[in-house]
Amino acid sequence: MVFPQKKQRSYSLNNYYFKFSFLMNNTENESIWSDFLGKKLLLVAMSLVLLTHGVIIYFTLPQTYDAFVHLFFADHYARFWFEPWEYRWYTGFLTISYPPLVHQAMALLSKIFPLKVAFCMYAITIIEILVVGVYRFTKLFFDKTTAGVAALLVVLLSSIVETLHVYGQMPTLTGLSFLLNALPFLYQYLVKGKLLYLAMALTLLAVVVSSHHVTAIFGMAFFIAPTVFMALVDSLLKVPSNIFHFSFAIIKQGLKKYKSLILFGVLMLSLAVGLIFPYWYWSKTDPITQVSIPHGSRDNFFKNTSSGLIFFVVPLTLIFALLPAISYTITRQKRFIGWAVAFFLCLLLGSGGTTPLPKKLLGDNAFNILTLDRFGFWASIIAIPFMAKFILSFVAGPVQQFWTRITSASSHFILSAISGFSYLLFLIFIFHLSSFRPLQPKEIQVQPIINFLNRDEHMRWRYLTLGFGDQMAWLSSNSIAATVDGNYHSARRLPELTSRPVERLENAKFSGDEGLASLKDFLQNAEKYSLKYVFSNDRYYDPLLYFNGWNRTIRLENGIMVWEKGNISTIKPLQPKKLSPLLKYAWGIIPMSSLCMAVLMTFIYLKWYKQKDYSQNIPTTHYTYPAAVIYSSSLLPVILFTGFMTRQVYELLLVKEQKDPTTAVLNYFNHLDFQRFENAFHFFTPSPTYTLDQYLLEKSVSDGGLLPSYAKLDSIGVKELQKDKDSALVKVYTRWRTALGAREKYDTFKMRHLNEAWYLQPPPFESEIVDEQMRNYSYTLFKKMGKRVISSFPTVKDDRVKKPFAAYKQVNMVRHGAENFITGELLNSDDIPINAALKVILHYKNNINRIFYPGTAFQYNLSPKASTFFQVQIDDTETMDSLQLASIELYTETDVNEKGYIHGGTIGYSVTPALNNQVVINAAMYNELTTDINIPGLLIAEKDSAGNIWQVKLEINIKAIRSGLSSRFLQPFKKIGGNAVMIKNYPLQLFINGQQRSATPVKKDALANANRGIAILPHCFISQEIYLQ
Amino acid sequence: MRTLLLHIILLIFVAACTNPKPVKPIWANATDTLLLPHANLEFLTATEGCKATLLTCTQPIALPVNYAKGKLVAELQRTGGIIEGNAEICLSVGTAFFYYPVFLKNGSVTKPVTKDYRSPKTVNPDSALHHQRLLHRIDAYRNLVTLDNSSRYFREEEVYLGSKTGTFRAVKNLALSSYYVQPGSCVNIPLTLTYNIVQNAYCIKAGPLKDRYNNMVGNGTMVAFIYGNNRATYRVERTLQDGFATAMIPAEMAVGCTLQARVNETVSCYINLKK
Repeated sequence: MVFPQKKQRSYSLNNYYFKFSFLMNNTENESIWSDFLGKKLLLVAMSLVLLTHGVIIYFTLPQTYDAFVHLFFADHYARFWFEPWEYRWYTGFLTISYPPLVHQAMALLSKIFPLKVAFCMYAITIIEILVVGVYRFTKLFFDKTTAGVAALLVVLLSSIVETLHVYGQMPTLTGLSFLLNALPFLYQYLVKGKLLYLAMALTLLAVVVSSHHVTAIFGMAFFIAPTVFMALVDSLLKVPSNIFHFSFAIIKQGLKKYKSLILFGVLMLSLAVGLIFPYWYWSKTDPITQVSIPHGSRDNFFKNTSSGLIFFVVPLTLIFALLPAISYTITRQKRFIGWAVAFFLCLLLGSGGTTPLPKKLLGDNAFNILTLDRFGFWASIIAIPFMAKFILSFVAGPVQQFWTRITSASSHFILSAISGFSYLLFLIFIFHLSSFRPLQPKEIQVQPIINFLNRDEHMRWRYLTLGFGDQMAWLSSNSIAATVDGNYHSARRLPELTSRPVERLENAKFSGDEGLASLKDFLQNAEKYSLKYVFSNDRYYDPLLYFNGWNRTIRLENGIMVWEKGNISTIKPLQPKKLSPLLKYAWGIIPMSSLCMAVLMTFIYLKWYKQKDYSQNIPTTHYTYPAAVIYSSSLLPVILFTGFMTRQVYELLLVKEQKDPTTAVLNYFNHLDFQRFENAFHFFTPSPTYTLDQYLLEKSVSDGGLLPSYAKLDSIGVKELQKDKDSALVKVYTRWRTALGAREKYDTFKMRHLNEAWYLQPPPFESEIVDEQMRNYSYTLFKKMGKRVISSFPTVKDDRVKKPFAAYKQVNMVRHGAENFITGELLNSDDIPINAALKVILHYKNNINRIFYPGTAFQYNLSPKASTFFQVQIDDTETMDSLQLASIELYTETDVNEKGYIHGGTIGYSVTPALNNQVVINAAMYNELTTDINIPGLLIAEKDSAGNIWQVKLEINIKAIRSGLSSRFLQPFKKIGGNAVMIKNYPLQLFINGQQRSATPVKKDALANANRGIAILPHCFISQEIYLQ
Repeated sequence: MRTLLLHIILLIFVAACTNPKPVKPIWANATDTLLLPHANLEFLTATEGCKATLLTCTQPIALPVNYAKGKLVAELQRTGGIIEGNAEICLSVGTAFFYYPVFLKNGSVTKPVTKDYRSPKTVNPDSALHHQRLLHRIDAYRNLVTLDNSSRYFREEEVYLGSKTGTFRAVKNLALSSYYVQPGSCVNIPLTLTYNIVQNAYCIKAGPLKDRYNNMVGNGTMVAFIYGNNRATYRVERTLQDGFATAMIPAEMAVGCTLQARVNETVSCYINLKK
């Protein structure tokens, strides 16, 4: 192919504007139509918004990240317009921590329509305003036809599609749509100096401030500053070509217009402060002091490619595809310099932690607080006019002419068709992104949960959701019950949440050890927060809940399991944070007034003041695209989008999962982790004797334990021990995250090479079959009868039963190095099964009281006359000595409980000594029950010869025990008896159900003495609900 | 714009218009204590459209009113009896409210009944076998009436209960007065050992377990069978049903072991497991 000479490779865009042949056939009417072409395209764009986003948004809404949070805030304003105290999350927070306009507007709509419908209506309205905003914004740069194309681009731009349908960020979109509408007025004001334009600009910017503070703050830098700069350039009579002269001229022009600039600056600042003054007041009086929560937008996108896909590739692929054209156009004129800086800066900041530059530019603090994807989003918005310019040129301008000349019209058509089609496929992919890469759990019907909360005064306690995703906010929106969790991180003030990098408790497992530690704090210290109910949508948390004293109560119609903790006090009245009534009224009135004012002013402007020659002072663009830009920007979209979609199809259908032993093993475990068992089965050597049925059967009899039923694969390592042409031997190291901590496992697989694929050899299966055909076991089940009178009056609740009797068999305070704990034994001395709640209060000399609760080293439910060991970890020695401990109180509250007192099967054990004061417990557990014991556990107490308990620990085995079978395992146990001391010099007072008690004299334990001081009780988790654990 | 301004000014004028304040009606047959049933309440007033309400300590009672000869008459005759105490008669006209404090009293005590109130109570022979009760009387309108031959309204008594386990009612047909006597702790644990040849297992039966009053120990009580030898220790947990707990122990694991059953601190004698 012969390329034209450089000079001939330039084409004027201006000459081709009116040859928009696919829309106009009649050349006589060309000039008439061309005036209105921009508006026609705008109308088409607005109609397309309704047809596309309007149709789909109701269905994408439940899968978005943020939509439900905004719905929750909207629900707050619908219920309590003038009361910013929201008690339902985090034990209470102030809603003045987020600009209210969007939520208040939705709240008003929700008075007529259901909340979700109100959200959708609001979202569509905002997108329509955004389309108009982009149209008007583009007119600052180019002609109306380009602006019309820009408006069309809004409908299809991946970053906007993602922000709306994947993130559901309505405040961002609201702020942006009004900001873009305000910019032309600001520009006109600075160029023409008319106060009307200033008023219009400020009115619209007021809506931005009231909608989204971040857009307002950064909008000043990335949108308003370039607009001001462009207005100053356009005000120059002649633009100097020399850069120094140009700089000087701009400064001079700025000084010439200093009154206008200062007036705008002062008024803008006053609006920014005054409109949402309660927000600034809150920021100052209650500053955010919490550990930064990791966010994918701050990742290195090369290392974490999934974050790169979501936060960079999906929103910005079109921008990268057209980057040569954008870069060329945006740097072509001096009036665009501000926009060029803003665009490239936003693009750089949007790249997150891929390079160290964003962190250096923003500083550590801002970098760790901000979600950086919004910068990429703004870059894409700034790029719209420049993309529209090129697209128009490509479809019906000089670029089209270029392609037609050097190839043919049909080649250009094919190129356009492939580019457009692949981009549309890419868009469809984004619409269904949540299907390909689930971002949220499946939709949960909240009505059964609401019914549960409404009945039997369950709302008098707080609840917690697990595995709900952002739908926890939707549940909150539909109920007036309170949860300890929440979904607005800036408002969190509970130390258990702010001291760890945990996004939410409900998805704690995704925050690793820190997340589970935070969740454990709440589950153990449930009394502190009146947390009584947990709605679990993820069995991953079951072991953590059970071993921390929670009992399953009921499985609701929607499949959600309700867990309950006994002996939890109802929510104590909490004083809301004090806020002046004036601020409350200001918050309820001023932001909404800004929107009303914007609507009114827009109406007045359109009716009486709108000028037809709106863009008359905007310079006409006269420049051309070089051939290199035309080639790259025309071909890159085809390459990138077809490449992206091809890769998706390849990953979905064509990837060779068994190309080598390591890949095969990695993919096998990947399928196993996501419970795609049929896919996992296909990694085994095809054999008529090893069928899918056989695989699933073998799996079913070895499943159920902590691994893999309650675990998530954390990391995997594969080592090829031996490999030849047809076979291999690999060793696999897997690390599993469970709710009870990490577990590691080693497996060895033999592999075979068949038909160009590597297969696993099925591991030898040792069947354990119980002799009996049918097993039986007698259970004694209890039913608590509850009230005698049908009444909601609280004092007669549970009036059939009293507080059950319990007794301390012994209580000790033990110090082991820096650690201190209270150990002992508690007896259910009643004739009914009980749930017991322990609480240790340390009274220090300076009136500081600290409260501690037991963790997993305690059986919370006891059958009649059963006893349990317990251990409560308390302050460390340094704290205790520095604060000067005065006394210790141990409280036990008991309640009748019909569940949870079956603790497992028969245990057998022998203890052998080991080095370093260790013993090895050779344990066996026989499951005589009629159900599997899913997580066999042993509650181990170390006793001295006199019978005193020194420490108590829960040790669990990862393998389940099927009914009628037994399991043996070795458990090392470190004794502390020789190194620890029993502290007797602090007064230790004991209470049961509020009454002071004393412990019975400690007796020698002959069994423990015969087993090197080790006493063991079974403490197992049984997943089948019928057995009431 | 000018028209709009005119409308706004007119609106301000309209909003500024107020009705004259009504004058407080005079209670013609005023009294400190209203003895029910009572004659009509008469008020002198020129204002029409008054509503009358008797605000008792527990509820508001709307009184029918009529006007006759410049008087407002509120009828109390239909009220048979009432909860006695401080009250107020409230006359209202629009947004104006006028209050007249009175003391309500019934003319006579009607159908007094004696109430024996006992809080739901569960007793356990291991601790104490007594129960408190509270006696009082109320009339048909739920006013407290003094107890017979006394000026007191309440009398507290302590009732000693029998040691037999069961659910009892202090007052017939009144579920709320139930009390419960639970069995206490067992005093000894008889053990029976049999060898089942078919299953090659020992069948250990503990029971009947009884408390010191010869009541059968409660169902669900945990009995731990602990057996072992110098090699290992085993613990089998069973719950009591009708006084008995049974465990099957495979013979191959237990031959030569000694076994003991435990319920809390109560232990059985040791037995040797032999075929």
